Amino acid sequence: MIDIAREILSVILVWVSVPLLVYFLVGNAVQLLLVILAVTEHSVRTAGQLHMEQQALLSSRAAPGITVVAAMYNEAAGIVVAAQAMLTLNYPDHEVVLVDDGSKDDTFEVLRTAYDLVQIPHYLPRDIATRQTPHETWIAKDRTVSLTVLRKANSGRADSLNCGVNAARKELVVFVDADSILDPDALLAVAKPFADDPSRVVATGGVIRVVNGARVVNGRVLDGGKTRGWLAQIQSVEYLRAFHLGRLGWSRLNSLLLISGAFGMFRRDTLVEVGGLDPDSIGEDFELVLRIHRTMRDQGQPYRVSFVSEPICWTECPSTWKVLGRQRSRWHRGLWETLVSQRGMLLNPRYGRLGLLALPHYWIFELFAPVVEGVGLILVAIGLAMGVVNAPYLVAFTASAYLFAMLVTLSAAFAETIITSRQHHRRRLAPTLLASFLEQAGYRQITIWFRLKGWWSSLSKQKATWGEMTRTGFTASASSLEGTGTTPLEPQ
Amino acid sequence: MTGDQLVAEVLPILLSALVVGFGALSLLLASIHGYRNLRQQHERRVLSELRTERLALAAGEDDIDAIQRLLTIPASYRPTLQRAVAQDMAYLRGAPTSGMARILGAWNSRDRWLRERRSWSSARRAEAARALGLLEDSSLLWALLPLLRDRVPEVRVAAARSLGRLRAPESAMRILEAVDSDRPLAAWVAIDVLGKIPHAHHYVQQGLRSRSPLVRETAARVAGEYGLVGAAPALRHAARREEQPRTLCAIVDALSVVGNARDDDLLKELALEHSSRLVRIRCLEGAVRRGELETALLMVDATDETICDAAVRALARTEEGAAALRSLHPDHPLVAHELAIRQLRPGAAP
Repeated sequence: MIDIAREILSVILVWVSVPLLVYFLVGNAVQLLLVILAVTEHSVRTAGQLHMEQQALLSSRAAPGITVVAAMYNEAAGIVVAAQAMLTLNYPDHEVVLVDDGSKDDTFEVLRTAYDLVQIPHYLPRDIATRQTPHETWIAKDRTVSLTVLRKANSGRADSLNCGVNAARKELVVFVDADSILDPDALLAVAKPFADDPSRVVATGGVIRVVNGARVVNGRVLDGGKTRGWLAQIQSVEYLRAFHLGRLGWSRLNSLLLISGAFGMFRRDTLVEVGGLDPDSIGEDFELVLRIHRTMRDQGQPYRVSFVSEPICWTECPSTWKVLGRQRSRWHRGLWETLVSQRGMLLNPRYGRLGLLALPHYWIFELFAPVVEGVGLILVAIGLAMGVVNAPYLVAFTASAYLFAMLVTLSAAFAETIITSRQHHRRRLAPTLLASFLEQAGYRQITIWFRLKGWWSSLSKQKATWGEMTRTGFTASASSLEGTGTTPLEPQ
Repeated sequence: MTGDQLVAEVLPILLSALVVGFGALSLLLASIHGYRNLRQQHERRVLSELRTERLALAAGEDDIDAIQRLLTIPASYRPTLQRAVAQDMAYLRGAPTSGMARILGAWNSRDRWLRERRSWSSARRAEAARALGLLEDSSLLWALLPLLRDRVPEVRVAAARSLGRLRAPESAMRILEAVDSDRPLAAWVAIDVLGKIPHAHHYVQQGLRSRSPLVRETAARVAGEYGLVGAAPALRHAARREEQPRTLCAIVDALSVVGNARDDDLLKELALEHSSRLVRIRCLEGAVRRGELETALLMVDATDETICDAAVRALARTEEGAAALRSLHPDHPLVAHELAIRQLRPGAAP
């Protein structure tokens, strides 16, 4: 019986080994190509003087107005720092709308005290249909502070952001997570593509970086190259490859599918036209961008969804395996549900490179990746246990697959040194190298399980939940606001 | 040879290549980091030692001593210094100074910049475009115009800004047309630059007759941004003919700034009858800006909620409009909301 099993396993391994190796090599080769495209995109669009042109936009008469929208749920720990950072962003014309999604802690009270909020008669346009309408509107008494706070019953992030869009008064809307911090010039950088090409650009995304361990003073990240904790360090490297360079590469092909919900800018009229974020989708940011692509292409309108590599949004990544697991399960579930909901675009020539390149890539190398890798690992483990697998061959096979992945990550780190001009945010080299190794030697394998769990939860129609993100808050020094041009906080 | 055998043959080679590649890339990365750190330390030192002189130059002061000191730096640091001064000027929003032109002249760099216009490096071409503008020599117009068609956007922007510094009317139409070409110039840059060029209303009139909607839109925006009253007749004429909603919005915005009483009827007509909601809203906002409230008051009762909201918001922005809302629509929920905002933030406006 065992001999038969060995025989069968041996045959299976022979048949799958080549396809598995090809899968790994092709997947990583695509990632490497995206890194190269990212560098090309950066060099074409900036010619080394991006920062100066951003400063010129600051004093331009044609700078479009921006509404910064963030949804809050139990953010009492860091909301004032985050709000202050949003209000003092370097931009000539912007306002901030915060939507309290039925927080159970004293998030609203903290804000009300810090900004001396005043309630005004409530009214909200219904440009986008929402499930829960805000019942209160508060604005800052200080006329120099362009802050509006909406209060509503809990209905989820997407619905809250849609309410924020309805309240927005400016031409452009940027979605930010309430627990994230934007670099001071972030709005300038993401608004520039809209100013450069007002008739075509409909959405822009920016870089997300990990803030765990960085020093935050007055809502500003001072030393972004430092990351505390190996789990955060690995995620930092992962974000670099996938969220920064990967997206910049897809932007080069005008096939950017995903603008992170933590930092994405859209035309308000485009958001209204497509109906805003989908409250039923757990991957609402991904789903929104796909829907924008689909709508624009179906209407035959020339458009562009771009990605800007310089502006940075700092966010706290999970620092424990438990929270990381919940996050990755949710992401993978969102990926599956969104790809299925927009499956009509897959391999459809009507959608150009999006349908013929980007979407197949996401299906094969993102969605099915945990299945392929998981099956490979299981087969190899059983094969080793049954003595079917040649150990040296296995080592060479595994080393090749994972070494190539590490090479891609290292290339991404190399590319970032070309792209990033801000010295104080430069990564430390040694931790980056080590993290690129650890990512492949354990971290990636564990996330396979998380992703499969998320997928299974969707297939078995379990209720989707966001779970609680345990926040440690930023490493902050005194929250003095002197010299920031806003009303100083008065402790109560 | 079976697949398995093939893999067994190829794997060692692949693995060796990957190990070598990994090692080489790590070494390269470490070298670049090291070199960059050293270089930046040097540059920081040089620039901080010359900080006072740099800022004096960027702020427009013609300080002979500062210029003399800046002329003494080693040639290898000149590009760094020039970039730093240009950045300082952007921060201080200063205008280029004759001091900067004198420095560049003393460095004998005019010929060099003329050569660098054709460099393979886009950063160098952009720098050449900027430097030629800083020389403030109108005879360099011919050298800058071709750079408006460069394949890299930042070079085109640098050329446009430099042409703005030369203030040559001959370049205005070229800048306007560059907004909608296969290598387009950013519209906001064109608007910024065209404001510096004299006799603007001539090329605005030409621009409003262009076949390109984006060129027409940009021309209209220039007229509105800089209050070019001389362009009003052309704007009026264009408003009657324009079919693109976004372009018509820009024309209407400009008319509301530079137009006169006879334009109120046009704005009212478009606000009440145009098929595009976007245009109707912009027209009613323009009418309110001109002090004509009747149209907006009529539209407060519109069946289209979005238009109704826009009318209330436009009216709430002005003292007379707010008073009219209070007396005519005191129970409208948006009216109470907008008037409360107005009371707390008198300048608030979309």
